[in-house]
Parts: sequence; C-alpha cells; structure tokens
Amino acid sequence: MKKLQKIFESRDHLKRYVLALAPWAEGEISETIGGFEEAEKKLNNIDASGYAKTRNFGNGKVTRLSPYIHHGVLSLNEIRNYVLSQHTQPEEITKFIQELAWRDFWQRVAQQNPGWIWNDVEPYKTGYTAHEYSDSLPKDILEANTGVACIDAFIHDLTDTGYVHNHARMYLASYIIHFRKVKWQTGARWFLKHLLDGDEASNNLSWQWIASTFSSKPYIFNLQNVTTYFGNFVDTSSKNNKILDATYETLSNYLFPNLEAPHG
Amino acid sequence: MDKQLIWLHEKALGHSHPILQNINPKTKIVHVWDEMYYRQRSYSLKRLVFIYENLCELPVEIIMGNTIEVLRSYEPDNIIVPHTADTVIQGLCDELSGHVNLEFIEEKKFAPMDKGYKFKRFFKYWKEAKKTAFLVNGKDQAERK
Repeated sequence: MKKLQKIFESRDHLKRYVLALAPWAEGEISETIGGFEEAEKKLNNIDASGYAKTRNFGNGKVTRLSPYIHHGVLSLNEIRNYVLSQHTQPEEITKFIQELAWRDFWQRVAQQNPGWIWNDVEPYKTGYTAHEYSDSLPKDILEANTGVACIDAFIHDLTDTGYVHNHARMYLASYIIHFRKVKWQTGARWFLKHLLDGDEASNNLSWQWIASTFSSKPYIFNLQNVTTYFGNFVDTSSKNNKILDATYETLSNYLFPNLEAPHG
Repeated sequence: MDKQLIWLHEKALGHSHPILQNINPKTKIVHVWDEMYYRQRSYSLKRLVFIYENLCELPVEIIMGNTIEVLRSYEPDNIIVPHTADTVIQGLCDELSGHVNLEFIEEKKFAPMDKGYKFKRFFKYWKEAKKTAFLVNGKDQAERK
C-alpha cells in the first residue's frame, strides 16, 4: 500500500503528480481550485438577490459553488445558513434557496430510485423510441466543430474549464438529444467526465428532463432564446447558427415530425 | 473496543461533514486513490486535480490501491462511510458489506420530509420543502433552542 503525497510546492507540481497517478486522464486543469478556502471565498461573494434576477444570463450572478457542493466541501445547510444570515427578506432569496432545494431534490429522487440514474424513467415523448437514438457522440461534437457557433462555444466551456452555465447545459443537452438524435445517457456520461460538479443524480435526471423521459415534453430552444441570454458572450449570428434560427413551431415540426401537437 | 476506520470517499470532502466530528483520535481516516474507480468514471484531469486539492486539506491519508483491498487490509471491525446517493459508491459499499460492517453517516437534511414521501416532481416537493427551507438548518427557532 502506497501512501500518497499531500504537500506540494505549487499547483503545477500537484497537477504533474496527479497526472502520473492517472496518465490516462484527458485534458488540462481547470481555473477552479479545490479546497475550503476557495469555497469560502465563493460563499462570501454570493449575491442571492442578484442571483434571482440574473441567473439565466451568461453573465448572471451565479455562485460557481456547485463543484464544492458536489464533493461535500460545503453542505447545503452551510450555504443556506450563510445566505439567511445576510438577508432579512426571504422573498429576495427565494430563487436562490430553491436552487439549493433542486440539489436536495435530485439526491433524494436518486436515493429512492437508484434505477432511474441510468435508465429511462418514462418513454421519450418525441415520437421516437429510445432505440432510434444513437449510443455514441458524433466526432464533430467531441471536437467542438458542429458548425453551430454557440454550441461549439458551450462545448469549449465544458471541455476546457469543467464549468458550463446551467442554462447553456440545457441548450447543449437539447442539441445533443433532439437535434442530433443521441441517447441522453451518452451525453450525460460525457458531461460527467468533464464537469467539476458532475453529479450522477443532478446531471442524469436533468438530462432525462430535457429528453422527456422524466418530463411531459421535450425541452427545445431556438436562436432567439440563446441571443437573449448569451448574445453578448457567444456568436449568435444567424449565419453561424442556421439550424437554430427558427420559431419553436418550425423547430418542433422539424425535430418531432411524428408528433401531432407542436412542442415548445 | 471496536477497531473503526473512516472511509472518506470523493463525495464527502468537507471539514464540517458530521463524519469528521467528535472522532476518536485513534480512528484512521482514509481516502483510497483507486485508479480503477476513477478510470471507470472516466474523470478528466480537471476533475481529478480538483478532488486531489480538496483531499490535501483534510486530515486524511490518501492510499493508492483497490478500494476493497485497501480498506480490508486495516482489518477493521467496522467502517464508517459518508452516506451518498451515488450508485458507483453504493456498489462498492454493497461489495464491502459482504466482508465488514458498515455504518453510514448522513448530513443534516436540507428539508425534512415525511417518511415514505415519494420524490418525483420538484414543485410538489417544493410545496412541502419551502415550509422549512428558509429556516436555519431547516429548523424553526423554537426547535433550535
């Protein structure tokens, strides 16, 4: 049994040490640093009322605490208690507390139903059966070369930083499942490889929600929506995002031709 | 006295986790750096470095090897494990429980719910959860006293 080193001169030394332990591991390190001190800095920077107003936007006041929550560096209770100590008006922080509740909810769904983590909870409601979706991710997705500029930018976020804005995760998952006909499990596995906060329960059940195997209809989006929330951060030009530049009705008819009613 | 061992897996890397409170100084705390486990999960270097950085701050020995073999090698009477819903770690616990007693330590619930509550739709859950979600530790003042 070999006892491993815990003290390093620098982050680079630690990185090289870990790489020697896992030479198969892909990619580079993230700018997000582990440890309680870093988690506490992010905790102290929480703007819970700003979060409520801006969380869906690319530059929204999101906390970036999720990797620390996933690995138990901070608990939901610690974060809740801190936020409560900073606010006297509960209505200002409802959305923030609700976001913590989502994490609690997914964990408890998974605990009660471990079989739902990798299996369809319900059939797809897309007009297709699970067998009609692919088991593998196309090369252009893996290489961030889909030809859809905003999607390629979000893929770079995933593979380069290990962080993707929650709203962009929904776009990316929807694109992979509904525009490219790939099984949600395949996409979920890819996210878990890269996301620093990658959590089986939150990740996989969210993918199922997008897919419609854990919701009443598939989640889709269009270019106008991406432009509203991420227009200042990624290329949302029509010419570089052609496939997304349509109304919800047009997209729905194109993506789900076997369905009778339009989805949006 | 029973020989206890704490197995600190990658889902519980915080100083304040109840598993690290009031422990016997003789109790060993171990994280197993299990290459097969991490490889099975296909974690990228980003994830592995982030996990390692968290481990370096904790009062834990990082031991390289196969999880089951390393933990059994201490010949503990029981192993204390942070509770997690993660299916891969649960699988290891199932395997381990064939050899040694396991005790699971859970963090305080964010929102206490009735036993037997079926978790399926968020907003149905939220209707119940919001009754305590805005209270410190999910408890009201009277209860805290």
